[in-house]
Amino acid sequence: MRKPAWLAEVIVQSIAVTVSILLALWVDQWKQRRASESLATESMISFAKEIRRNEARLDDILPFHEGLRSMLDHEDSLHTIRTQTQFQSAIGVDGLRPPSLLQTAWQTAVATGALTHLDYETVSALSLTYTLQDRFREDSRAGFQAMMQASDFKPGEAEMALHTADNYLRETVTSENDLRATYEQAEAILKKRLVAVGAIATGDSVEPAIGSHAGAGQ
Amino acid sequence: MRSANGWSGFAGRIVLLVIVCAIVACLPVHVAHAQGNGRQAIAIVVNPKSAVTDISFAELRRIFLGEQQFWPDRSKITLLVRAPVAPEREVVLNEIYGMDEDQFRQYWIGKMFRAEVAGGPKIVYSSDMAINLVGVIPGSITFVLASAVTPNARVLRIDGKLPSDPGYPLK
Repeated sequence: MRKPAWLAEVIVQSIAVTVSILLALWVDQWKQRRASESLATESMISFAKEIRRNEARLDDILPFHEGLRSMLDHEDSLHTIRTQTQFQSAIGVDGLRPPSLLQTAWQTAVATGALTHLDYETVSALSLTYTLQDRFREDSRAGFQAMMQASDFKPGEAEMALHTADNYLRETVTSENDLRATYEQAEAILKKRLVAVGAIATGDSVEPAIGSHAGAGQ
Repeated sequence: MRSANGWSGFAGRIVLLVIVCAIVACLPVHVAHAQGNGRQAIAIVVNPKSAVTDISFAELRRIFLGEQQFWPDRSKITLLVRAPVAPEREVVLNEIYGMDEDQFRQYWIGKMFRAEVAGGPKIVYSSDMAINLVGVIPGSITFVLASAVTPNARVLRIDGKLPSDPGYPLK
């Protein structure tokens, strides 16, 4: 029994249409996956740059805070600070401020939904990093306010002010070192992911450190 | 005869007037020069462990402008600057930065915004604080009046000159 010619044509055309639809869906899916991967890579580069900058800010302020603390210990041992003016002149207040740390990459990633395109380990590391950064900011702010209040002391209460400033600086320096170590961990995870997706080579960094050694001695 | 005497008297008054005018015109220059000579030199002090003993004025300028952030031995430079109103800050702003207070503030904000520096100069509130801090912060550099320098402070030569030498640039 011979099949009608139209049936063969219908079958061929149906197959062609189905294949075309499947191909179009595959291409669309491929494009979406590419866009997601691109957003994820862009977001990870942005995180890596921001963490590097925050790390540089800590590196910039840490020696100063450590120096202030060492100087404070020395002044305390000599009992030379008796008045508010002496306190201000010997230690100052502005230098005791914690560094301002950026979190625009995290806010942008949350707003654009870029986090949903990142793997679980990376999101977890970033979430921990920014949570610790938030805690550092809140603790520093509270400590700084307490120290400001203590620095407004009456004659004869200098010891208390020095003690508060010393406590504040000790906690700040410890937190800054802890946060710096957290940044290093997050940076290592981001670098591993960026190397895996081919965004950077194994030995490369996302961007050179601010004021890198390239300028040394120039 | 009387007319000739009158003429010579007139000429004499003119000459006297010219001399007086010349003296008056030169007076501000002499006063300014005298003030300049009376101004104290500014000493550049670094951490005692620093290997640097002499730098050029151009290099000093690059350090203060945040264009050079590391010493030749790769240690980080921490710049300590006196808070506004201190006379030595005024000299440094004029002689090294060539800026006023507003321009100085804008300059550092711009550098931080462009991520060219991680932070601005660290503020100190007295010469004692500057000298004490520079002694404990590795790689730090500051400036104080030459008279405020303590015996244990490491003063840098600028273009081979100390603050007490003639031709020292920060006077």
